[in-house]
Amino acid sequence: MPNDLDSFLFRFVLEYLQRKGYKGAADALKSESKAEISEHFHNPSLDIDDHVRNFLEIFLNVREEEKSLSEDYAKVYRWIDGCLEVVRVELGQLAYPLLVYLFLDLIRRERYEESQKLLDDWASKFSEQSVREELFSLKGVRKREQLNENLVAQLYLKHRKDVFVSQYAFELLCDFLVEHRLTCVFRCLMEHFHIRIEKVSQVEFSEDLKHSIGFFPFRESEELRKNDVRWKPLKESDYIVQTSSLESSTPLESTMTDKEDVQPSIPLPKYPLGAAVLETEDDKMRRVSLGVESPPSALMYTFSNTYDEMNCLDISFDGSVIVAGFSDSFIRFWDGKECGQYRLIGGKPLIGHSGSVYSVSLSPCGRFFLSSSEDGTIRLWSTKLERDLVVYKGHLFPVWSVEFSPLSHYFISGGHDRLGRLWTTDRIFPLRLFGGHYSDVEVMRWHPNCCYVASGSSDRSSRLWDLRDGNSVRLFGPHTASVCSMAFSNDGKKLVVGLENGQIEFWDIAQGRRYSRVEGHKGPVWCLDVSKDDIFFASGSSDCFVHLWNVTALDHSLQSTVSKDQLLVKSFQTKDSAVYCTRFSRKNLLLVAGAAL
Amino acid sequence: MAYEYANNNNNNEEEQVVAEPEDAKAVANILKAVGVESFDTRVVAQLVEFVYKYIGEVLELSKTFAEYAQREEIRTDDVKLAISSLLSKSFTQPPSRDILLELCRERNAVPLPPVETYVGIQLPSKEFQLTTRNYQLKTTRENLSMEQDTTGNTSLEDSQQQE
Repeated sequence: MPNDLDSFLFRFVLEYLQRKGYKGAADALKSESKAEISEHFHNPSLDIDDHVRNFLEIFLNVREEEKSLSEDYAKVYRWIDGCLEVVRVELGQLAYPLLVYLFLDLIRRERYEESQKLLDDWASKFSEQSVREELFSLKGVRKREQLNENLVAQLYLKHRKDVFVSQYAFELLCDFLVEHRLTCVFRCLMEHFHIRIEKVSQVEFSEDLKHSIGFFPFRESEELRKNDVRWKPLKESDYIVQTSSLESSTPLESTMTDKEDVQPSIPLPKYPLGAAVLETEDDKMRRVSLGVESPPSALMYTFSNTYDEMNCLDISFDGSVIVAGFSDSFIRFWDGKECGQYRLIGGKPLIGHSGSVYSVSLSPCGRFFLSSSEDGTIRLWSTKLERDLVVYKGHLFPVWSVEFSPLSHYFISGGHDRLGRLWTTDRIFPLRLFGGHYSDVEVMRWHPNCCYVASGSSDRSSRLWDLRDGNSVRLFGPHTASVCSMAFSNDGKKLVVGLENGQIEFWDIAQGRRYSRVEGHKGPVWCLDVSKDDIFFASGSSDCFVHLWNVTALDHSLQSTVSKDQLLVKSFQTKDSAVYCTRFSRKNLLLVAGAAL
Repeated sequence: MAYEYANNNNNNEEEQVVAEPEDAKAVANILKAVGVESFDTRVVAQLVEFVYKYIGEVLELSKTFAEYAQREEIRTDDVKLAISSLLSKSFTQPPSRDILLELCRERNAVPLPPVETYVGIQLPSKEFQLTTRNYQLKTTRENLSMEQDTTGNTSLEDSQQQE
């Protein structure tokens, strides 16, 4: 008996080594052993556990060259389709990743024709945009050497796919695979997937699972959810220099402040009362109070004759200055105080960049602005001097987004090099690098308490970054398309994300979960802004609409997709102009700007 | 604006029918395979030119490698080496994720500098601003002759002292 077991195991190991291509090890094993090796190998008649024997039998009896993976996959796909509803939802999330991993396995084993056939047969079954893009990229992989260069392949090979199933569904699947001897599929499952047995199916995941989605690091997202996020707004004493008369009252206040109040995590500039950066008393007194019964009306600036070259717009916090960046590297700005609010004239072109300008951001005081461009630089401009002052070089690739901090002094930028950067206006090198996205960073936004920044990327995820150490504290996703715009609510609790397919998602920062997703627009949502009292937020898009949504209804909603009617309060339709910028001024007036193409 | 890809043969019936070069056909097929449905003929011509130039560069470089190894003929290893060395020069891509994360770790370890109270905006030191004077004044001829008599300093040094 022991001898049989030894020789059996020996042959098993030898076959395994030969099959995997480890010729050196196989030869070494052969030369070291003195026993004879028989080429043919039939069922061993051993007294081992039946289960183990079946398992080994399956592994040994399969000769890969005769099996067609495409047919195997077809069997699995059809079986999943034919399952019970509950099981189908859970196992449906396997269908697309399994296709990708089988394809990659075929490429690794150099069975190129089969791999192409597999993709050709099955790629059409998946219609989600993100999935189609990934499949398109994978189609280009024809040789094993190309695997290293293909980004999608690398993403899938380096990370194991997390699959959430219940015990019952998983056992069903295993039984099916063993019964039909689909060993390649089974082996692929074991190697590339990380099966997580969940007892209670989570509502959120079931919504995501209905559609196949591209790559998303679920595990990282879960781990990050354990972090604490301090989302409350700052106290005024953190950024306003207190005069002596107020100091006597602060000891009283400080004893009453609860421990949950946020301490600023980065050194913040302090301003004396009356600085242009801060809100004035006038702003607070004259703030228009909005409500569902009294929604705001919008003032729209339409730019004509832009020939589709205007890339970005920004409106100042008091609504008087508008800046626009163009594809011919010019920047124009209009100061409403000089030329009157209703008809902007002037707009001298400011020359400085050497590539299209993709993003502009005005400082809170309205006298300076930043612009980011395709040439990889960010420039600081002065509206009074009408020229650029400083060049910030760090990104060597197009910079898609730049934003001044609400307290000035700092600014953030994100670009094609997949990094977000934190800068101060007085240093030409960045202070913090935010790396973690798998694709370009499209949008960067400040949190109202200046402790965090959010970045949205074209890898269909958004992240929240802690400024003190540059680490990611939250991972929001998966979105259904790449991120076009983001906005934080003024109380710091919610993050609104506008996507390229017109959907808008609402996320709870503290818990890292999505409140809901709305089919907002028919085109990419280019801009979002929240009103100062956190009741409304406005979204503008290329479908010529500005929608006003009531955000307060979300706090009590448990569904993951709220219908449009429940949230939408008012819609403004422009004649023919895509909306590039929406801004609620400090007095709660809604200002909108767009281009009539 | 995209034009439909027009086959020359259909339009110019009176002129001599010129066969499309095979390279152009290959490039057109590549474009279709990538998903580009309609493209101008000039695009194909430009791409063919680019392909020629690139292949020429690669082969030249691989010839240099083969000569360095004292071989007459070019082997696939030479070509592979040539391709990878040209990759870093011409087709730059953002660095890989591991390098990026390493960079981030290094940079984020430095604590943030403190901020003073100020009004307006703080600019970096003069040498990094775009409004600084990036020229020097030449002194006039009179000054030049006077200085040469007395001190023997060059005018350049003088103007620097004046700053």
